[in-house]
Amino acid sequence: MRVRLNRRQFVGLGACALGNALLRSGRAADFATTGSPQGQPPLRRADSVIWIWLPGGIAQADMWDPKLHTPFREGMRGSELLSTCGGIHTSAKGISLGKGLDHLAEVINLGTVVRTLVNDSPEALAHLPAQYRTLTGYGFPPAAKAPSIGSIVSRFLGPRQTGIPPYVWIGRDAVAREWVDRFIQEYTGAGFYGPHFAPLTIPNPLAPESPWASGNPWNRGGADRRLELLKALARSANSGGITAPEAAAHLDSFSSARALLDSTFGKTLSSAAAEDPDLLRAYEPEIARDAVKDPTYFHGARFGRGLLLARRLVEQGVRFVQVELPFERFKGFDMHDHGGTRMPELKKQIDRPIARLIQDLEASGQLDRTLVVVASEFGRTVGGGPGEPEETRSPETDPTGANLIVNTPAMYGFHRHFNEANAMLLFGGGFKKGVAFGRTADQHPMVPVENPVLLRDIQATVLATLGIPANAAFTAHGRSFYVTEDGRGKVIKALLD
Amino acid sequence: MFPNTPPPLDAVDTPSPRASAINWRRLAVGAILTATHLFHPSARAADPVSGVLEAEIRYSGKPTGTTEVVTMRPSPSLSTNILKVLEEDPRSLSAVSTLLFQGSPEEMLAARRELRLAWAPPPLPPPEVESATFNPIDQFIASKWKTAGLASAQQPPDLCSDPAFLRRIFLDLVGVIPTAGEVTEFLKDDSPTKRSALVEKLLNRRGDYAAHWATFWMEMLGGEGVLQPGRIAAGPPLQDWILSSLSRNQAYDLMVSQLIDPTLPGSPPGRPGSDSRSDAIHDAAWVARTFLGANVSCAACHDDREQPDWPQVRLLAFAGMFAETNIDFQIAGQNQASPVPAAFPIEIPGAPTSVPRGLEARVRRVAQLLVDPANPRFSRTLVNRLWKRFFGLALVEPSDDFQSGAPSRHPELLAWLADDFARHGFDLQRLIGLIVSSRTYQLQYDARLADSFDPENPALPRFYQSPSLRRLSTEQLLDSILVAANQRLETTQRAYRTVVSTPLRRALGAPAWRAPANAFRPPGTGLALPLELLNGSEFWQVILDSTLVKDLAAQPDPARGVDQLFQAALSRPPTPEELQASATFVSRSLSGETRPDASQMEVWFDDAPPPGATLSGSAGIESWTWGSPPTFPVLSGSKAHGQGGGGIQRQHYFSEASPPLPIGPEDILVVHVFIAQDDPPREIMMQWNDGSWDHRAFWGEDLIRLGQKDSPGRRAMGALPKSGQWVALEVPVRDVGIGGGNTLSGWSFDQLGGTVHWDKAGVIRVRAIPPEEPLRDLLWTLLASPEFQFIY
Repeated sequence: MRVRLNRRQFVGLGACALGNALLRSGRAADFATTGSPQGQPPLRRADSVIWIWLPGGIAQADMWDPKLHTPFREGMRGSELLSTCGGIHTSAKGISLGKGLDHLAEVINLGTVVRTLVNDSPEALAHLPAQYRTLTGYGFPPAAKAPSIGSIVSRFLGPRQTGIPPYVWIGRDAVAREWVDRFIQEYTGAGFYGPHFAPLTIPNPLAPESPWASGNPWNRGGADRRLELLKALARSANSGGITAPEAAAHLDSFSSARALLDSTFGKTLSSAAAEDPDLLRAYEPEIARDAVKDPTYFHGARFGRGLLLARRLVEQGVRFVQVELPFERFKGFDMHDHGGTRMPELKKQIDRPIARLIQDLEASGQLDRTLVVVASEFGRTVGGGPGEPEETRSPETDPTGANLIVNTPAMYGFHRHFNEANAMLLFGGGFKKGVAFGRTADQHPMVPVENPVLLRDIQATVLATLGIPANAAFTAHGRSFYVTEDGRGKVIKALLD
Repeated sequence: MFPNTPPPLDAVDTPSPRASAINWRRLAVGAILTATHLFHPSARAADPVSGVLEAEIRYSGKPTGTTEVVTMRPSPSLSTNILKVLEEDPRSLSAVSTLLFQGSPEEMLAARRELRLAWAPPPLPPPEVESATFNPIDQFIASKWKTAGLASAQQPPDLCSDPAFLRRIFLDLVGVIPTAGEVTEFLKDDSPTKRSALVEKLLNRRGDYAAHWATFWMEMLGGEGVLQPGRIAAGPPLQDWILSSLSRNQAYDLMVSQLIDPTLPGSPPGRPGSDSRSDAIHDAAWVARTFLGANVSCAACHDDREQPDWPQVRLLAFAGMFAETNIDFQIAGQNQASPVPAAFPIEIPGAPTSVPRGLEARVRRVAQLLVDPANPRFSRTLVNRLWKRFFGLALVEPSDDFQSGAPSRHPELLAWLADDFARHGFDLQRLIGLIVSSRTYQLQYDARLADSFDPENPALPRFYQSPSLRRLSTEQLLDSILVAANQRLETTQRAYRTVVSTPLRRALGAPAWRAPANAFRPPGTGLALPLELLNGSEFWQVILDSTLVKDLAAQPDPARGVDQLFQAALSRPPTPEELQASATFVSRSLSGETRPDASQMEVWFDDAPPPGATLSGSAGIESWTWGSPPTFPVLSGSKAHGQGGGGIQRQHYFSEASPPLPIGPEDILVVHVFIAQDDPPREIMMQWNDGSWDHRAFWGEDLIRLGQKDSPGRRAMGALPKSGQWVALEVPVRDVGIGGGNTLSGWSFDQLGGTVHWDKAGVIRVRAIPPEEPLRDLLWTLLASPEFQFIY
């Protein structure tokens, strides 16, 4: 049965221009009882989500699904390159993680590793369409610009606390000039849901910028005076006859925004000073900017602090926080060369902060009701290295890498986009603990050989843990638009406790 | 009323020497041949082999109004040759015509338009109504009021005021608010035709007109092109072409022909395309949505359940018109694929239904059929979009989707306007002039009368008794705040020219990346907008940089700038109440009456002495006693300090705090004190060290004999504060002789007898208010007001 909100619910959810409406909580119950899709009751095992977004495409054989370590040898064939690091033992029996993920190894007994995520759309071999697809569940280019999962969750469930924004992004630059950045801004967010359901953004939690910053060159202390004048003028007899509800809502929205700036939420965003220095250190990466080979891509500090901030925001009632390591072409996880040496650095930027987040959530009992997801847009395989400009080339021509001769250390690594196997980590929210799901081949091509998982099904499962049916829909351009692709996602029960 | 003739053409439209060599006769031949080959019904009767054509056409071309009847019997050889060329390669049509007849695409199109208009069914004439009307638009609208029995039929709603019209028309035609000078000029003009004169003047500001409308066209016509399939122009080349076309007021049908058919002279550069099938489907869906008002994007992948008259095969047939050969119908999961015969999706009377061979010929055919005056969907789609732009709600909603059965509000009006548009050469400025000259457009905004739209119930009637409230578009707002702040706007400053996505732009609803799928900006804003306006750097930077504020602040009495700021920002003088409220606001700010209170203090120390401080006192370091409830009352943090017991003089203090506390000349020192109700002292005193301790203030009896009486060394502050509660003690640094620029490193707490607790000490920063500041505050207030943020 399809869930369609009636007119009143639709308006309540934000068709009206009220900023306040967005900040109201407690609609979840109305919605969850509206229908049970495909015979499965919504599970509702989590209240909040922290979505750790690591775009660029991650070499899964070095990270979440380690294979046999095959050290560099000049002239080795691509087919011989199985992993640049090999695996380590972890706290979970049956799960091995890539070497260098020592901290995550300690907490992986609290989560599920899905190793066989298949992204079965051809366009999804390029980063941006694949990121769009991973976050929205729909193919690119879209018939209607689909909302990302954060917008879906925050639209359906609202904030957990009245007065707190439901959806926050941390770690993405506020100003986007290049087309890549503008694409990402445009296509990962609210989509056709519109600005009401767009995330509030915290570009750099280490150095809060306006509008959160307090030390702006204008007199923020004067805001109350200005708002008072604004209201006085609006009340005056002939202020242009603005009696429209839209105008009243516009004025009201300033009060909401003003209250938000002064709230615990706003203060958390404008300063990180209140945290214990030891705690701050625990969320720092294990590598410093001057120690990475390409200091222009060092986001670990901001990423780590972002995870701590995400935890604080969830404590305050934010529904969905996305923390990301920003995507930059050919940097970070988008490695088309030197994978063997770049991967260890990347791991040092993210391993400790993520593990610490999981530990802290577990220790405080929040992990029970908070789902933490670690995701990227696709995996990587051999090939696609230096001198191979076709980054989106399908490995069909050389699926095993047998024709690739790895002549230099620069060529040693997983440099080609691979959408036949991707991995995702899920902690909390009713996902099984200490379990690896699915198995991939140990030789190239490292495709799923057991339990392949479709993207829309994992989305259905994630949404189900939040109580949202896979075929819930909103109207776009006069048509129903489902939260999973065409409403077809199916919950994977085997992933859940 | 706005004149029926189009505005004078720009110098850019002056015919080139070559074009002026055309004589009407040759042009007519071109027109006949074009029409004969492609459309003209008599062509079916003519013998294409002999090439003998006989046609009589009524041709009205330039100069406007010239009508001449031309009877032609072209020589058989000429016609045969041309027809032969065309038969072999129809795309050479314009090349042939240009070569033989020197006919430009404009003239060819004009000639074809003339012929094909005969096939367009004439719309119903405007109904007769009794109420006041300015032009036929009002007749259609008012007749609906009558049918629906609305009070407006008897008593039509009022026209908007001159200032409201001025602002509305500026924003609608050139995208910015008027300057204060333009406001004054318009308001003092008492000519009865000043509104239509202004419309004409603004339409002739072609650069501003093009700059404003470029965003509308970019969002309607295309995207960035990157990552987007399709071959039709996009990105910066498209924008340049739009600007150039708009600044010359090119005919709409010509623009669309050039856009679709890249071989036409004056076309924008197309894109190379990548994969023929997806390019074709994408282009077909895009053309259907953009120019035929059929949003068929869903059908690209599957039948659209909610649009049964556009099954996937219909779109695939249309896609065949954008491909070398017919497009295959592929069923997911099956290997079978069968080609769908290419076809134009709409039947047009008198137009050929055959499909030419080859990509270019097919695309050319699409261009011709699309803009054919006998295809009313083309002009109606555009008229509907423009209507939405001017009134807030379209006649057909969603405005890019004339779904089967979706009710059009005022279908007769839509048909009439579209037909009028086609009959006047698809002249965009003329259409715009007609709409804004209507009484309907000039109605006063009235929240009670304005229509609303519910996407779940699109059939609700719309009466247009008042325009709907429209939020300023991102570009209108960004450009207009600059006009308000600086009273000028360079072309290079206009927002559409900067391809960047910023928090303010996104909060205002501008897409970060343009693509057909997001061409229509969703209404409303979230919390991001009020946050950005309240405390965002982009909005504030405009206010901080305002040259108008700087000029007004330099005047002897800044409060007199209020009037100017209202004219500059809201395009009207302030009302007496507004003037008074604003002037009072400015003068109160300047007189310091609005200085912050203790709640906005900068805390120096609270639960511990400041860093580096050395503690001492009447009992040595032991005089510093910190406590928490229940033994000590606490105001802030977890501790307070204090001492008591016995009637003796006590003191505790620190010195050598590092870093010391910098002091401004107007600052006020603050400490909170709690006097025990059952054990009050006779006197309390504080001393400060800025290098010397000779800065003291006391409350109660004057018993502690330190410093010189009634000097900064011993300043009486009044009676003891109330006991049994926390009280903030405030001491202006001026009163105790601490000069601006000095720093404090020591603070002493003295008492004679009693039990006294102290908490949270620091300073209230009071700045001397520069005259710019209250004016900036007022400018912010005006720019953030609903009156500025909406077009009403």
